[in-house]
Amino acid sequence: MAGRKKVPSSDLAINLQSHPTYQHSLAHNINLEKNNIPLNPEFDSLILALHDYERILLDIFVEFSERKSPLTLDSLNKHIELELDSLLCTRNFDSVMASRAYQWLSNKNIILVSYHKYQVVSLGVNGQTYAKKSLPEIRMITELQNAKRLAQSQLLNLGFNQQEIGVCLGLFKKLGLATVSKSESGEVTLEISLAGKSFSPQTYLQQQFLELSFPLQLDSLTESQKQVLEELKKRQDIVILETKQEPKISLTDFGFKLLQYYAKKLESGALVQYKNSLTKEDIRQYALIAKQTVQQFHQPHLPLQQNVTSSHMQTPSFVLRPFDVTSRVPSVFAGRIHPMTAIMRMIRDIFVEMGFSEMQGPWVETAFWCMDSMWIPQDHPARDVQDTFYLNQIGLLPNAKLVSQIKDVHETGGKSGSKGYSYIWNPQKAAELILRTHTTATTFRTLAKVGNNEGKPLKKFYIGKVFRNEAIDATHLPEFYQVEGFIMGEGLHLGHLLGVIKEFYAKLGFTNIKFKPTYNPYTEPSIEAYYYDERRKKWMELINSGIFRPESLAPYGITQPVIAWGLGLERLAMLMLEQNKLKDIIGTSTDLKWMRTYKVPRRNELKSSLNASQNNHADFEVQN
Amino acid sequence: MVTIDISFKRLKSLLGEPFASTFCLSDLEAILFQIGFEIDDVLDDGDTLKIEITPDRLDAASLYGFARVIKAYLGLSTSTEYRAFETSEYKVIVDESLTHIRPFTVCAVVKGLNLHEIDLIEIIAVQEKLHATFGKQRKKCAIGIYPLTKISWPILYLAKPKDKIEFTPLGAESQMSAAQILSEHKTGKVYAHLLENHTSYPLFIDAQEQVLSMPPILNSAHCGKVTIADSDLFIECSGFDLFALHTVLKQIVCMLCDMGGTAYSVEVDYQSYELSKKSDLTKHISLFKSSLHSLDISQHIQKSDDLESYTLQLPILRNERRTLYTNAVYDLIGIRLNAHEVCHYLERMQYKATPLFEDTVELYVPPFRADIWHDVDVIDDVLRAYTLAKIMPVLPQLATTGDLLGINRFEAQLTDALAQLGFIEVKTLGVTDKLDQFEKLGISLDSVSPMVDYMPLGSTAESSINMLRVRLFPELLKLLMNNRSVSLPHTIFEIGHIILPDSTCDVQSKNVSHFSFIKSAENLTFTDAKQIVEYIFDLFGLERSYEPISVSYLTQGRSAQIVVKGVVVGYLGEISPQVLVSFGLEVPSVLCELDLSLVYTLLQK
Repeated sequence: MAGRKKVPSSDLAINLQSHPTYQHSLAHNINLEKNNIPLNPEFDSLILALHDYERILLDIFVEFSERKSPLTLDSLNKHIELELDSLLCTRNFDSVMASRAYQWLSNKNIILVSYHKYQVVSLGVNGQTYAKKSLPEIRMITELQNAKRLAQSQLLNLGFNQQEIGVCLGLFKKLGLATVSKSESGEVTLEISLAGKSFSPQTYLQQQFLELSFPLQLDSLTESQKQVLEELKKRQDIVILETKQEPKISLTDFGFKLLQYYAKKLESGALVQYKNSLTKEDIRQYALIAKQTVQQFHQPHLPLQQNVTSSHMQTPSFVLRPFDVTSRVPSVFAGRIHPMTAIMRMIRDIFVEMGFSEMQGPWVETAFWCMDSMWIPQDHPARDVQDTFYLNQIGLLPNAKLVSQIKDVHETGGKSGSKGYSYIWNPQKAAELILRTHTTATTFRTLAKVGNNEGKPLKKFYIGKVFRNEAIDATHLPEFYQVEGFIMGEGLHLGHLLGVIKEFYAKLGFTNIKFKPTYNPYTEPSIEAYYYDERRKKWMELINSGIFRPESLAPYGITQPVIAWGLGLERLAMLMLEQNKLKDIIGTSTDLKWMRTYKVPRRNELKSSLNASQNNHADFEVQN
Repeated sequence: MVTIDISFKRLKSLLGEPFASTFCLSDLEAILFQIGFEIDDVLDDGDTLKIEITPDRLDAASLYGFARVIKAYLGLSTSTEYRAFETSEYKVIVDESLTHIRPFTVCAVVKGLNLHEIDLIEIIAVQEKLHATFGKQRKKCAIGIYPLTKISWPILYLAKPKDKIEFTPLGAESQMSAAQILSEHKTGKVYAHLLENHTSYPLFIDAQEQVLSMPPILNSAHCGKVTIADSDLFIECSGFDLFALHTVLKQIVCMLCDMGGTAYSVEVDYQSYELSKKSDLTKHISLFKSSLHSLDISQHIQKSDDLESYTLQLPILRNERRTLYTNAVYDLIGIRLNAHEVCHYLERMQYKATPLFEDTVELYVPPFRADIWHDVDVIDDVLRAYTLAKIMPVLPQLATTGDLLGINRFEAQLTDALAQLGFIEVKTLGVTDKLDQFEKLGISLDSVSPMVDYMPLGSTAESSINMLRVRLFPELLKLLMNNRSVSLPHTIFEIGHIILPDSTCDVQSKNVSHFSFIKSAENLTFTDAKQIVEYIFDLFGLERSYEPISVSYLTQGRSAQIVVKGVVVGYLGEISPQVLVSFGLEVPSVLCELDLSLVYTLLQK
């Protein structure tokens, strides 16, 4: 125990300390060259930083190095190769600890780790059974030797299953042990042959193989055993072949020198004691030193306490083991907001920055507010039962005046300057309750409330759930979040719509955008806005937009133009989170493992936008 | 979006030289982008293009219609005039027996065609495309096409008791009864549901009582099979909406005219008072008239002395006249164009247009365009020809102030607080299962009723979706069940809406913001839940008290309701082991559920 009075502080080390082999190795003088090894600060700091696991490995190496004299690196590595596993075993050093120690030591160039791949043969479920009660062909031929003839039904009665019978038939034919014929009733029947009569189960190689002790390394098998293996592999669940890999450890030249140094220090008792973490007592040591220093400063006449020498005043009697700051640490899991919440906050920020205020509206809607109010005709595909959740209940329509204006605008265009759809509008159909299919329902509730807003401008936005009657799979959910914004204002035209969208995209970090005309029943023009995704190298559509039709606005007395746009939040989330399975994020199939670790979506820094260029210019002027 | 198949070779041949030899796919792609269409795919034959058109552009759904669009955009043709020659030769009499079945038809005759096999295929493809889209799988509108030579005039459109119907349908060898057709015939089976609940089925029969067809199902083999030898065709559309039928009929007739035919009108007599009354014929006709307000259609629609009977001479293929002010163009798209320029762009979009004054354009909308309701639709076409890429994006200079909803700010504060306490926020669905919301909590389904305790859903794609959630925590339990393999502890929460019935609202229900958390770990008790609840209420400075409660899903003696200013705002407690088991969970768990809308309101007081 000369060199290691103080032991490592971790639980593991304390357990090992009591292990006899460990004690022995430390107590024993090591048989190294006796020439003095000069002090080596590099080695010292390396040794100081060793983790308990690494020390245990080095101790084992030291133990090996005592075995032969004179010792060379090669013979030491031979020992390591042959005996390391069993020694680690006796020290309760499991594979995780070992692999961490290997990793750290090889990072420090003390050892070299290479991986040896090999194949292992073991028995499958059937193999284990047959090892005990013999392969079915042996049992069957034994029965046949007694009975001479056996029909399939008899075999089944004897406990063979269909699959076993099938295998045996094939084997017997091949080996000529029995003949197969069909009885009058068409039943398969086996009759033993001459060869079959003289068949001796003891000589059956397959059975001998099964009785080997598994698992076995493939390389250790003889050629004939390998052939048997090939045949057994074709049968179900008899043998299993797995590829395994095993680390192969050898000391490097550098490691060998370090080990010699380490052993020397170990022998001479010069290994510094270290601690993994501070205790209250340790900190009190500092307090004591500090107190005495102060006392001496104020009362120099008092003698120092006996056990505190002046050299100890700056250094307490322990050393904290320096950590390898580059090594990996276990993960921590904290609380987290949902990624969709993060994205919604981002969107809310953008809208508020642009002067928008928030709206809200109900999930359950009348078809009136979801469709009719904005001039979606009553036979529009969006109203089809297969896409929309109907509650099979009736809600209330708004005041009769508005209802009649909506009826007019659908049928004849009312006062909107339109021809109308020329069909008979049905108020009952408008009263049906549905789950809203888009957030535009809320937009139109708002528009109905504010009307022309006394000719003043208005900017509103909304983030809410919309529903689609769809079966759930990895990428489809019956609910989505939709984002919607509109601006009402005198003189607004298409250029403004494009400008606002461009700005909105820029605030999301997308600057390369293009527009395409499309069709929406309640906007004209209707515009799809694409951005160029640099990572995916393609144009992606995120925003759909338009200018509300006069037919959509006239019933509310709105004469100011209204531009509007919307986007699906899930789509944006997929892009920002690089997570394609909606099901892992939203709904009861949410993957909590993913939720614990997802990368928080961040708003891309504003690159360039209409606003940015104006602002930058302003800043420049202020600075001058 | 509607996807159509277009042969690029045939398209080019319709464009004629020099385009037939120089026009390439990227040229087409560029034009389509401006118009708002898209090449979705090129099939392996290298010639068939899958093209997405917007559903308002029915007229582009045929090769000929599509070619019209491209030709005009390339400046190859100004708009063609179409015309249906009026004649009293062809007459269809509509019988009142159809009143509740399929009351209306509009018809046409096209003569002088010289059809090739490929044209026949095209006609059928367009017919099916129109059935599938505009026709709502033949429900709203079904189209029948017949060789004219097989027909003896006049035709009678009537409904016959189904057991009296027997004819040889297209695709069959021998006579079949109506019942056989609907249960055995390939086409009959597909569309049988359109006639279910009727005891009489619609039929077109001619003067010799030959069956032409049984709409909307199928044609007869004798009178309803068109071959390349047929140069003259009879076309009918049947359904419930006169205007829609006329719209579809025009599509077919214009296409046949493009193929070289000449159109003739067919007189359809609605003489029955009963039918007129019950099917709102007068209303339909008045809507029809108002849709054609710019055309003089007095000779097309005649009302007999008996006020409720009409004779319609359709189709009307004349162009519809409109005027457009250049100012309106500026107001919508922000571009100053003079009348000449507007005309130029309109011609690219198949209109005939002439400047009337400096700021006014006179234009004619071709009969196949079903998407022009308002000036904005015309201006949108000007835009597509002008090209969207030339519009400069500008930011509106409108001063407004931004603001968030107070409840959302409150929810955000709570979300952050919970995350700081180590909880993971989750988002579950609003639509869910009665089993999870009631039965698994020990609440019998017999004890709850729709519209009182919860909002039900009608038929859904997923049987486990049948109501809107009334509480959050069962969804959290389901989520935990799906995460049993994830290491403990589980600490999750959700802030989201639930839906409660409320007959005072127009939608018979209201959204209520709720909050719920669940903690799952060994050795958890009521205390672990109350600590969190206390923390939250301290955070918002709300005084609260706790009263023991007895509910099926919480352990008695370990559960309480939370009272703020005399109002119950939620509950907390240990989840009863029975509930844990019903959700497949084995770890002790505590929960809390709060009505945040209420808490927020109380905070304001």
